[in-house]
Amino acid sequence: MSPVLEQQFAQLFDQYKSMVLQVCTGFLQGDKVLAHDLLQEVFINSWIALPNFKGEASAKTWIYRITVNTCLTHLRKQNGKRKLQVQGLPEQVAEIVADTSVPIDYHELYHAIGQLESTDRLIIMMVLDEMEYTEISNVMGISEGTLRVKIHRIKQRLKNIMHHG
Amino acid sequence: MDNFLDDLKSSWKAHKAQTAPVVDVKALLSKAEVYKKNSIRFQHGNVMVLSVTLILYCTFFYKFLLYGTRLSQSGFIMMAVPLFIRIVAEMISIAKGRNIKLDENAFHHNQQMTQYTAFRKWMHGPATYTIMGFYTLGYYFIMVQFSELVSRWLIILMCVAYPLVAYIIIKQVRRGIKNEMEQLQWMSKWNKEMIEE
Repeated sequence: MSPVLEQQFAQLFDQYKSMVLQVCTGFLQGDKVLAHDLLQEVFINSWIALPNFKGEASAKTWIYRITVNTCLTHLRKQNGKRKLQVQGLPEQVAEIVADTSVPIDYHELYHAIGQLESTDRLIIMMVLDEMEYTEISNVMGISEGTLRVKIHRIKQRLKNIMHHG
Repeated sequence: MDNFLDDLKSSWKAHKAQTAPVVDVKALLSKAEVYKKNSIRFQHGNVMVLSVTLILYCTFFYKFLLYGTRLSQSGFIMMAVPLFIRIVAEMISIAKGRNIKLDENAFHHNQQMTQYTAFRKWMHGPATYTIMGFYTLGYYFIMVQFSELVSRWLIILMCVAYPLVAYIIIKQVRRGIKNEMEQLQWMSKWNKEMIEE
């Protein structure tokens, strides 16, 4: 193991671990245990890909690409094997919720995100993370025009879910 | 709509500050290294097992090639060549797998995975069935001359055991193909949905 790579990895891990965990938890509809496993998978994949990281994209975009691909690989492998239970979400998420000063309860947000399609979940989480549309299209590999249309639809869907359950 | 999104963003941000995974980076690095080594070992393991089988087979049966009848010579070739082709296909598969980068964009990554899975499906499907067909013919061709060298009971046992083993292998292969088919369908649907506006 190269010490330079090790140091670089440690920095990336420290900087993005919370972001990745949040995305994994949102993607897995609030399943914290699975999200921790997926987080480790994301960083194991990052370690394997790290020697090829040339800095062409920002570190955040790079980590996001690996996170999205790892999440989708997980879903592809699980395809049909395990259906996540959306109904069980509020209880699971309730453990994490503590801060009531924010405008929307976190569990409510998780519940709403959990009802979206898997790819829509990933896209909206990048929007919530305040990523530029150029960066998101860079992660997903679709044109900015297509992305804008998708985001518009996802926002409407999310609003409907949150207002009407 | 923008206020709604701003509220969501602040809720998201507020929770991120509270989300900190308890994972030791050193332990994670060791785990990553073990995973990397195991993955390489697993990939090369298949090639190693097949190569050793081919070497053992050639060492054991080469006399059939030198001194055997036309039938047993054909049998030897029909068993050895498909095995060699399988080894080459496995090596191509490893090379294709290594070209898949996880830090590509999701659409491109999914396309690469589709091509790779399609190759694996071909390898586990038509290629394996063809190879097994030739292998089976070769096996029974060799048995004719082999029967002059060993007891009749052993020959009967070998002839009866072979279809049983072949049945188990085919069952495994079919299960693998079914899984690959499902993954291919999922990936193709995903890519279509991604480019749709």
